Amino acid sequence: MFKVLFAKEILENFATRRFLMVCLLCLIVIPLGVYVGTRDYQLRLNAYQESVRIYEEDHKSVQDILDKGGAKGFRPPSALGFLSQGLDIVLPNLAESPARREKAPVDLRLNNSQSFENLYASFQGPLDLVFIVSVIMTFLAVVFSFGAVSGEKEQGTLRQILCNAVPRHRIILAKMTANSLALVIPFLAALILGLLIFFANRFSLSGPDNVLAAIGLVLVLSLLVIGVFFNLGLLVSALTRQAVSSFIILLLCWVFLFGVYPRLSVVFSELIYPVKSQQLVLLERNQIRMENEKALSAAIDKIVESSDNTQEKQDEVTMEFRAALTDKLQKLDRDLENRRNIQMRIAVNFSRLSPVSCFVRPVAEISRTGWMQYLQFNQDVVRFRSVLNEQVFGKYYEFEAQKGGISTGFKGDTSAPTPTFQSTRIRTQDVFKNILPDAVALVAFNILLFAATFVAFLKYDVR
Amino acid sequence: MFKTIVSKELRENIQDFRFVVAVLLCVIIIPLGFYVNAKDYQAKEQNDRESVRIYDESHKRIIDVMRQGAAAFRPPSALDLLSSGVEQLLPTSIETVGYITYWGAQTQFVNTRSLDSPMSFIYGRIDLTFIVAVIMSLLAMLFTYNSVAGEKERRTLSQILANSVPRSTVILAKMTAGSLLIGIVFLLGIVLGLFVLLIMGHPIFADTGLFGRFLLGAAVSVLYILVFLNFGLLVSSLNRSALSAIISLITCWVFLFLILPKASVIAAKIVRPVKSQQVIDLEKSQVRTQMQKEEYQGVSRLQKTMPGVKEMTAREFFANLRKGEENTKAFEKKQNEVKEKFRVKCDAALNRIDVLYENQRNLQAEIARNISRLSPVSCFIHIMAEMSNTGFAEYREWQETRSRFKQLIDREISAKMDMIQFGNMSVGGGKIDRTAVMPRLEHRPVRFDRVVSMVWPDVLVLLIYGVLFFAGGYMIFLRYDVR
Repeated sequence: MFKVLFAKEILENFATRRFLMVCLLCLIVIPLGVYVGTRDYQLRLNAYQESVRIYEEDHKSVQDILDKGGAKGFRPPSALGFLSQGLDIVLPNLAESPARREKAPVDLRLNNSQSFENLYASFQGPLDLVFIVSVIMTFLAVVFSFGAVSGEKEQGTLRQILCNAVPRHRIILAKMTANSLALVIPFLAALILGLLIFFANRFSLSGPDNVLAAIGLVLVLSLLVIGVFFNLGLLVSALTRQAVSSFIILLLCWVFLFGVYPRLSVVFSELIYPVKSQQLVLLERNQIRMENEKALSAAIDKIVESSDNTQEKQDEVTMEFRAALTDKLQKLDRDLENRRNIQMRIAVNFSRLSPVSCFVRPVAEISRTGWMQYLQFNQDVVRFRSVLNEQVFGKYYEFEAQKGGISTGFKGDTSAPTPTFQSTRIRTQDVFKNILPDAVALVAFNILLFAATFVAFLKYDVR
Repeated sequence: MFKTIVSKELRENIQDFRFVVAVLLCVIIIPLGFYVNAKDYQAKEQNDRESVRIYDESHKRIIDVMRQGAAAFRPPSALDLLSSGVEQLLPTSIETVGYITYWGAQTQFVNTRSLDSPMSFIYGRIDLTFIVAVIMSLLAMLFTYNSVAGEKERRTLSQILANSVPRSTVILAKMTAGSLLIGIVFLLGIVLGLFVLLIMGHPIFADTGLFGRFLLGAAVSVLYILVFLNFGLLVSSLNRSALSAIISLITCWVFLFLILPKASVIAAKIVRPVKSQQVIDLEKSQVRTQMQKEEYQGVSRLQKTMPGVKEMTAREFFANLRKGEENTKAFEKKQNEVKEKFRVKCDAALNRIDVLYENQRNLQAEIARNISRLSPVSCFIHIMAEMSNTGFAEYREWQETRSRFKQLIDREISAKMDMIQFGNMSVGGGKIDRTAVMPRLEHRPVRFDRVVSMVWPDVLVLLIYGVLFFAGGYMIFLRYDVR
């Protein structure tokens, strides 16, 4: 009996204009999105490599860092950007030391030049897989499920089916499997086509170590989020008597879940737990630095005026002030990062109530374009900074032989090679740990909605 | 007769649960959106004010600027509750890079705001543009999808047409009633939102220019909603069942709203690829280094060939210069000429790179923009962003501010500096008054006529869409075959 019902649903679904529309939409939009994403990645990768090349050509030795505008570290673009562009264009992609001779500890400033060149693109948003799944596929899931039960109620065919000797759960199961197949088959076909485009281009530069695992994970999450909307559609369909009203309710749910709720969760987290702006923090750091410098120069003046003015003595005082400054700045840094992380956690936990955000954020993390990527880059920058402070700026010194007469020098070999910036890849396990709650939430949504649909259909009163 | 049909339509719609949903949505979401954005603006504004204060405190005199570099800050836009546009990506400040030398300041845009609220970049902001473009247009379609198709389905339309009533009256009455309803509901939300803003003491009430822009934004929103209302009626007249009407409506909407504008960007990127800013910056710094090297060589050549000077050692030279000896004076003058020549050459080379790059980028944006005008949604989003100073006019304004900023520093500092170089010794000149007060850069908001010149094609396109959809719905209804 299940077979008969299943065959009926399949015929009903696959022989419609709707199915044709879905096939066309998927087969056009998904490969296009992947193609554009990979092309975009190529462009960005070229820019990155070109930047590194020019920089390395100009900065061969420590002397060059001191003379030619400081040291720089570039963040490579992520090869998996076609899955989710995420925060890629707003996160800093460059860390640079001040373009002047400065004594240690210097700060590396995080800079982002990508945002200005992508103004127009970000205005309209990217056409990445996240967008396609979280907006278009979820919408299609609603289109495929809203009439599954309520349509048959309206046409009166449901009664006739129920008149036969067939258990209700078989009917609903047949509906679920057949309808979801009609949606998933075109999606998978299109995705495979897209992946062929991706692999035809053979990238692996800064993607995760295991590209296939990442793509597989995204696929599972995609199916889960499509499943949530599909089950939601069936539930509403089982609860309403008219196809139109079930469609309208679903439409409103859809807009709320993908459009309204995630936005609200972010704003609320910002209102509940405000964090100082980056600009303000940078200025405060500068202030602390200037104060420290003032105090230092006063102390040095004292030494200069005293009888035994030696470089060792000046160095000693300088080191003292330097250590104090480093401590203060590091504390400021830690505080800011802590506050930011707390705010981020609030936003993430809030937004988890919407299945769409349980999908969007994890995919960004999997594609290495999320917040974890920022934290990782930040860590790399801190490491690079301490290397620079140790090998370059820490060796640069100023000696005040008499009042106003400052001579500068470098304790060490100025022709030593420049330290290079090393960017670390995020391990797949860490990402997995990070996104586990979202995956669990998605599964829970699916089970809950499925169970609710099942019960609602079983209890349906034919009268 | 017209009145009768309008009142029938109004009553039919008001009693429907759709109306309740629409009222609730407008009354809750619009004021809520205004509230959260205004709160957010307060926080941003406070941060900005604090930043400016700290900066001003530590950059009072020329010497402070020479030591620490200069900056100019872009204040957050008070109208970002209308549209946050690309606010997050626009530069937050302009800063000097490295030392300010007699070669002039190097400036760069800095964006720190994108780090302040990264998640809102993924999910988007809940500004009026989003509310109107997504929620209100959806509501407009929900109000109209069955106004013709539904009556066809229930066969009431043939009964109405059996009366002696011109068809044009019927369709016009339907349009009027629909527009009235959704317009009133929307304006109710806006008024409540304004009330919230008034309580919070938002600056748009203090500034007539801002308030005017807000009202214009609201007017454009109404126009946009009407476009979708007419679109709904058009599709409704084309379909025989309400269900197929709403499905085709929403599908068109997804296409117009979500896919087409994105495709326009992609097309532009593929047609006109542009180099990245990072590479351009590095290329510029290469040019600068090269020029500085050439300048150094030029001065050295001069020093080795100039009679009366070439025999001196550096120490002798500077001692003679201080005494005011003639040969050294002449050398100083010559040296300055050589330096000026290279400075001008360098400026020209850098400018050429900048102009070329900006042109390429503007061309790309122009292509994307023109393609995206096919979609009314994209026109609307553009208008709103420009109205709220969070769009491309603001970016252009800041490109100009950047050159004004450079001019100010060049005039106040670089032009007054001189540097005389001999052998490997160089001595900075003392014409510059280091304790003078550093003048401030005036903030200039985007002029309204510039906004108008940028958005009038979009307004025109929106109007054309409105008229087209209206005419289409009208024609199709007139030609409807009752059988």
